[in-house]
Amino acid sequence: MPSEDRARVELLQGTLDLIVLRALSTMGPQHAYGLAARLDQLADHPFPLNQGTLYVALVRLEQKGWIKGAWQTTEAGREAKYYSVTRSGARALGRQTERWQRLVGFVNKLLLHEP
Amino acid sequence: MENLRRALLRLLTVFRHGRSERELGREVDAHLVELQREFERRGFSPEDARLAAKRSFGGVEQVKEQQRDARSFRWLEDLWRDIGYGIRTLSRTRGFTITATVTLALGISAVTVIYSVLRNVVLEPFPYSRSDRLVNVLIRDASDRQVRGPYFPAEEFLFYQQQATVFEDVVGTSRDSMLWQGDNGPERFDVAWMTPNGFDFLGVKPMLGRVFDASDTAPDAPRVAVMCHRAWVRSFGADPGVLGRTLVLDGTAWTVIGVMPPRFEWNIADLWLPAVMNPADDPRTPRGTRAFQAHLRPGVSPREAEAQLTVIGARRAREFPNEYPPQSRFQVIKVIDWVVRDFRGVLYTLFGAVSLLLIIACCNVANMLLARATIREREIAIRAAIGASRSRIVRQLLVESALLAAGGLIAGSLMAYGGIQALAQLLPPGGGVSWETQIRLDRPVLVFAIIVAAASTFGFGLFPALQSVRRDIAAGTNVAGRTTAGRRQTRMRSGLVVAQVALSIVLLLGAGLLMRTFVKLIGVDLGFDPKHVLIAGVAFPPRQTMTPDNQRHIYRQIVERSASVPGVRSVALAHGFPPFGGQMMSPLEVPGVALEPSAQALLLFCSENLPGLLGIPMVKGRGFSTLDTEQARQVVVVNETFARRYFGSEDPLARVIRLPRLTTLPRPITDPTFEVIGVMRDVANSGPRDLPAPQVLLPFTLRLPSGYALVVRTTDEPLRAVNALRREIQVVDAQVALADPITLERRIQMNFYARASFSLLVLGIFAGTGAVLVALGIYGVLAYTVSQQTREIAIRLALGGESGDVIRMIVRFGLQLVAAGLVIGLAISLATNRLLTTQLWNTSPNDPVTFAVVVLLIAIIGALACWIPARRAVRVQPMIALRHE
Repeated sequence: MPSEDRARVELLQGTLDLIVLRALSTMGPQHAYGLAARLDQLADHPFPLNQGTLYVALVRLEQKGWIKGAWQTTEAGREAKYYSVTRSGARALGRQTERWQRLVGFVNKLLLHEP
Repeated sequence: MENLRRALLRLLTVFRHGRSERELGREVDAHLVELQREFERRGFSPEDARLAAKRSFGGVEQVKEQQRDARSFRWLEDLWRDIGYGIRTLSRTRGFTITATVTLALGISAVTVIYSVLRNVVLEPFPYSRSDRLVNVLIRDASDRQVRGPYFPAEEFLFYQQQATVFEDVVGTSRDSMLWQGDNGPERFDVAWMTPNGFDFLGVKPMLGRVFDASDTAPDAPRVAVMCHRAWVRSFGADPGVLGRTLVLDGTAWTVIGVMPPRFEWNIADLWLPAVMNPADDPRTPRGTRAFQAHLRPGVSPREAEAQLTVIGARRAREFPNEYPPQSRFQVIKVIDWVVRDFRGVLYTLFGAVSLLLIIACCNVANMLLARATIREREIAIRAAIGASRSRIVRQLLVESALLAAGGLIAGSLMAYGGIQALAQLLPPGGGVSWETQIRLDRPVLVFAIIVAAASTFGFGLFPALQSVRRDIAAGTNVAGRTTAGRRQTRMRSGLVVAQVALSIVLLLGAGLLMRTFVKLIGVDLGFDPKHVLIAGVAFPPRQTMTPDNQRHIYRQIVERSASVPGVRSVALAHGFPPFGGQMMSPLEVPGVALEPSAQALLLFCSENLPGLLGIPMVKGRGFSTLDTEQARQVVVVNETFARRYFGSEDPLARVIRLPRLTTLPRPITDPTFEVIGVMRDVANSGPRDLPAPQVLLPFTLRLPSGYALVVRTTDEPLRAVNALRREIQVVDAQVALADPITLERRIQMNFYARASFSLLVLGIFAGTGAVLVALGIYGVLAYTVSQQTREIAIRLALGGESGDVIRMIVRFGLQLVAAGLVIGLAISLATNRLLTTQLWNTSPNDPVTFAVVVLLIAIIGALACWIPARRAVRVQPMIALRHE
């Protein structure tokens, strides 16, 4: 099980930032819990990571200047930190998406067409 | 771009640990609340919902740790916190912190000061390019006497320049002096004739204007000169308008085209004048005889250059056998070595001494840290118990040490700055220190200080830090917080004290030996009275019309008028620096007597009253009369050494001697035979260190026209008479200048005592500081030991023990350490004192008196440092001490 676990995490480490960026970009400003709930919902089976794992991606993206966090009040009247995509984040998302497509295209080609 | 931004933010976050941490906590809490609400909505009980939320979130601490790793640099964050913690800890124990910082500052500043001197005097004294390849060329005879060079006649100079291939380029410079008729009366300028490639050779850019080159020596080119910064400030008030100004020097006009930057002192000239060299130049003029100075080609060693020159020289020696004594050899010596000579040894000795001082300081601080470690045992044990690793604790302790070192560095740099200023004043001028040298606290010196501070951090901090964690951690947490396991520590601290005592013995012995030398030097009877004597050159412009007669007349008038100045008792004339003379030596012949070929005498031309003025009595015959000098009679006065060495028991009076050197002077004296008319008492004419040389006094009128110095005996401070003397000379002849007035005492001090007093003062300060540190070290260890034994002492006293026994016990322990240090220190000194031999005079490096005094001194210091804690121990009230437990 440990090796399987690690494989899962490794796959996600490269993509977690892209997933978070894309999700924030389609959902608009969102807090960490909302983001996690949305990802759980999107995944066919439960999202393969603990919700806390998002915090690493969030701080990384924030320090790169791609997202910005600000404290706001939720609908339920509680405090939460809302993250939104910045302009340079939007540009980065375009670049990262293209890179991802290229990578996926290449891997797919390799998997499907090679005997 | 975004990666750079992230790295910067991570770095910044290091210093915002608290804020980031609070924010993260808030965010995670909010997240957990939302999750819990979600599970409650799904029908979980509040308690189950809380647990489910935690499961779904993942380990909170783990998540936070991951986020911390991502948001900043952990090691740096830890370091930053260690620093904050260290500052708080150190500021709680202010006494300890200040003592440790000052101790380190003493060590660091001393090392820094001497390093800056070493660097600027020995390692990089010159502002010239390629100065590591700059060499002088000399020729020495079989007995290693310097027979030729660095000055060579133009023809010979050019011969070697053309033949030798080991040199990259060659410059020919010679010194001369010229009289400038300025606005404030005539002034003597030291000028240097230099081949036009000179500035290119030295590679220094002018500060103002331009320098000269080959085009300035073309036949129709105007005469140009480049000025020294010192002269520019001294004589022209640093006025940039000096550029383009025409100076009339000895009747010829020169236009100033440039001013050099401050440290440019090539040949110590006020002005550099371009002059090409021709084989036909008259070797008796300064222009026609130049110092041969060259850059070796890269990769050529001085030995290789010597080998080539020897081959070339052998060819020339066959042609001119008179100029080359048999078995003469070439010496190619780097200019740095030529200038610094044995002063290098002095500086390396001092550097060794300050290194010892720094080690003593480090021992002291290490000792203080060890004592402190005992007090902090509980703190460290608790930190270890709650999970701090040993390396983490060592790091924390080292950070504290580094903070102390940083404090020591800052205070030490300030002290070094002051020390360097003071030392720059003390350096013996000319005695191994080049004119270009400027001692300052520059960047390389500061870098050195930082390295020293960093190294000493480990030197004093690592050992105690490792010691702290090595101890049984459980022992520290016992309820009483008292340790019994102090023996190993005590042994180590005692070892440090022994080392300190040993090192300070080495330092004190060195200082003691130098002091013995100095005292002996000062105690030497010079044989004359140098008090209240002024010496000043009399500089004439060149005059075609000047004859010996009218110059003698002018000198007589100057002497007469000077003697009438209030405060002046008498005035004489002498060549050079009496009684040492211009260091002119002549071989000696006595008709009818077979003297050894090396027989020679020191010549001093003077007026008849010089011996009387200096207080040198005649022991036989008579001194010069006014008639002897007025008529320039062929008579001499010799000293006792001369009479004893060359005439033995015979009567020297009325004997005839020959001084052949006089026939080869630029203005030769054709008949070098003289009659001895008197014998004067010996004086230390070769300086206090050496035996008197055979000396001959000659009437100054034999050698005219020539430049003489006024020797003026005054009733009080001689320099006060300078202005009045200058006025009197102006009255006699408005074109004659009084040059470089200086007191005889100062001159003697500079020539003979400056270096000895420099070494003594500096080493003395270091040794004194070392002794104080040692006293503190011994005191610290004993005070600590006593405080550890309070209980034992209290019980002894309570049971009726004598306080005298207790004192004896403690003092015995302390003196055992001192004795061990003494033995080791003396053993080291026996080996290292030999290094001092070149700086000692009439003093054995193992001088028993010095050894005895130093041993006694250390014993007294040690006993005092033991006595105080011992006294304190027996004053303890037994009941209080025991209740305290």
